[in-house]
Amino acid sequence: MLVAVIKKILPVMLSLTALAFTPNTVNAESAPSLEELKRLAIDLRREIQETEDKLANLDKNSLSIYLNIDNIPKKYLQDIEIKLGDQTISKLTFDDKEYDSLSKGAMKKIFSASVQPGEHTIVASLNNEAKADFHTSQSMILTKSKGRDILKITLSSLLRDPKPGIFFDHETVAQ
Amino acid sequence: MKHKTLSRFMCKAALLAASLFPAATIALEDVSQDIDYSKVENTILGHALYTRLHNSPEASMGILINADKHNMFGKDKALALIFLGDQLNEQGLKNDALNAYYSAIQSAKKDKTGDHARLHYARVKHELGQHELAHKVVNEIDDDNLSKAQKTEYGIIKAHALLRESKIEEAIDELPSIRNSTLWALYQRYNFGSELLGTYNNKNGASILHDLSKVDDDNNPEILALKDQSNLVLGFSLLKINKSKKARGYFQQVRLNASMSSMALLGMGWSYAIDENYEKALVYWLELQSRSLSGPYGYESSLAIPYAFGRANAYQQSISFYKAALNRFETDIAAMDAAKPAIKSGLFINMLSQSPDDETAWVSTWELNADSPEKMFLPLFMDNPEFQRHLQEYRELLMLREKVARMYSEVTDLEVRSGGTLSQLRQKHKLLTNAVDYATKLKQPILQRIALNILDSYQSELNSYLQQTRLGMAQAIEKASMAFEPE
Repeated sequence: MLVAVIKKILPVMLSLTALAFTPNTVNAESAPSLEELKRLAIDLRREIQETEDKLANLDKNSLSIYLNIDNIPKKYLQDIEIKLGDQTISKLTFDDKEYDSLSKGAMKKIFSASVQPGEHTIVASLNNEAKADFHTSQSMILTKSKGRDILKITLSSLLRDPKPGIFFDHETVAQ
Repeated sequence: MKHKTLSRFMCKAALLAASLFPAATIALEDVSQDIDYSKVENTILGHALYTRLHNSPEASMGILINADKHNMFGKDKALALIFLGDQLNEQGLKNDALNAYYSAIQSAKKDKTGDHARLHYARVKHELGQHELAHKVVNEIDDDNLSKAQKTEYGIIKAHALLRESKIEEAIDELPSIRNSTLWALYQRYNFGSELLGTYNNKNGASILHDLSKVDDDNNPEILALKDQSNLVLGFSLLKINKSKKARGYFQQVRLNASMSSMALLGMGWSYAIDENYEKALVYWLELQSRSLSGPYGYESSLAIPYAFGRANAYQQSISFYKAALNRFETDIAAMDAAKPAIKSGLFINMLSQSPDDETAWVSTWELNADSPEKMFLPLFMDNPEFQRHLQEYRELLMLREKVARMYSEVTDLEVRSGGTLSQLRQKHKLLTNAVDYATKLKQPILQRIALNILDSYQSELNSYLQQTRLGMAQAIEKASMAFEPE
C-alpha cells in the first residue's frame, strides 16, 4: 500500500521545480494576455520618455551630462558639483547605493537641457574635505553642436595615484 | 484502513510545498554576476543600468528600446541588447527576450559578448523545453569565452539535451561538477537528477540529488528550499524500496521551520510505520496534526493517527482519535458550505489582492485573520496548481494596474506641456488602463470558480473519509471489546 502512495507522490515532487520554470500562459477568455499587456506597458513607458525628450527639445539642441566612476575608493567621494559657465547646474552627494551602482557600470544622468550651440566652460569639482581632506577640480571648453551632445564625466584613479581624477568625454550624436 | 485517500492527500501536500517554492527568474543580481558591466562605455546603456537599479525595469527597457531604434549604442550594442533581453526575460516575456539575444548575437558576431548572448539565448530555449535548439546554440559557443559559472550552465544545457535524446551515459558524462554553480544551474541540476531518478529510474539521479542536499550555503533561502526538496525526494524514493532507516536520514535533514517540513513529518511517520513502530510514527503524525487544523496535512494526520493507535493495539485512543476525526470532517464540510457565499462575494478577492508585489504577504494576512471561513481553506486552494497559476497572473495584473495608473500623471503633465496635442498618447494610456482592468476583472470569477470547485471536490472527499472513519472506528470498537488493553 505504501508503494502505491510513493508512486503517486514521487512524480509530483519530482516535477516541482519544473513547475517553477513553466512559462506564463493566460487562459482568460478573450482578454488580452498578460504578456501582451506587459509589452504594451513597456511600449507606453517608452513613448512617454520619447515624448518627454521631444518636448524638452532634447532630441535636438540638447546637452546631457552623465556621471560614472571607475575603480575609486569610496573614501574620496563625498560630493561633486558641475558648473556651466558661472551657474551650478548639478550637485550630487554620493551615498552607498549611489556609489555601488555607479561602480558597477551604471551612469547617472545629472543634467539634461537645451543649450545654445557654441563654446561653454564646464567645471567639475569633487571634494571630500570632511573625511579625506581631498578636493580636485577640472574644467573643459565644450563646443556645443547644433544637435544633441553628450558629455560623460568619469571619475577614475590612475595607477600612480589612487586619488581620483576627473575626465571628460564629449560626443555629438548624429541626427 | 484504506490508503487511497492518504496517498491523494500526500500528493496534495507536495503541491502545497510547490506553492511556497519561489519562482525562478533571473534576478538582476544574477545578471550582474554573469555579465561584467563595469567597463561599459556607452552612456545610454550606463543610464539604463542606473535606471534599472534605482527605478523601474519598464523605464530602463524604454531607454534601451528607444536607443536601439536610433542606433545609439555604438560598440556596446550587443551588451545593451543582452541587458534588454535579461530584463524582458525577468518580466516573463521570453520570446521578446529571445529576439533581443538574437540581435545581440548578430551584432557581436563571434566574440566573448556574442558567446555570452548565445548562452543567454540557450538558457531561455532550455527553459522553454526546446532542448534541441538550446543544444545547437551552445555548440556554437567557444567555452574559452565563458567564466567558470557560465561553463557550468553551458554543460548543464548540453547534458539536459542529451538526456532528452535518451543518451543517458553521455548526458551524465556531460554534467559538470556542482562547483561554481549559479542558482539557475542548481535548479537545472535538480531537474536533471530528478528526471534521471523518476523517468529513467537511474541511480545516478539519487547521487546528483544527494550532492545537492549537501550544498554548503545556509544564507540563500532558495538554495535551502532546494536542499529540502532534494532530501524529501531522496527520502520518499528510499521509502519506495523499503529502506526506511536511510529514508529517515534524509527526512531529518529537512528544516523543521520550513514549508516542506510537514512533508518530512509525514515521511518520518511512514518510515516508522514501515518498521511497524507505530509509537514512533505517532510522534511525528501528532506533531503534524498539531500544526495544521484544516488542509491536506490535517486531514492526512486525522486518519493516520487513529490507524497507528489501532496498529499499536491502543484501541481506546484509536477510538478517541476516530471520534475527533469524525468531528473535524463534519465541521469542515459545514464550514466549506459556509465559505462558499464568502468566496462568491468580493471578500475573497480582496484578501487575495493584499500587497500584490509581496508574494507572501497574503499568507501573513491569512494567518493573522483566520476567523473568516474562506481563509481557513486557503491551504486547499494553494495546493491546486490551476489556482496557483491564475492567482500568480492575477497578482501580476494588479501590479501592472498600479504601474499603468502611475503613468497617468506623467501623461497628464506631458499633455499640459504640449498644449493639448498628445491625444494619441492619452488614448493609448486609456486603452491600456481599460485592457488591464478588463483582464483583472475577468480573472476574479475564474479564481472564484476554481476555489468553489476545489471546495466541492474536498467535500466529496471528506464525505468518503467520513465513511472510512466510521468503518475504522467500528473495527477499533470491535477489537477493543475483544482484547484487553493495558493503560
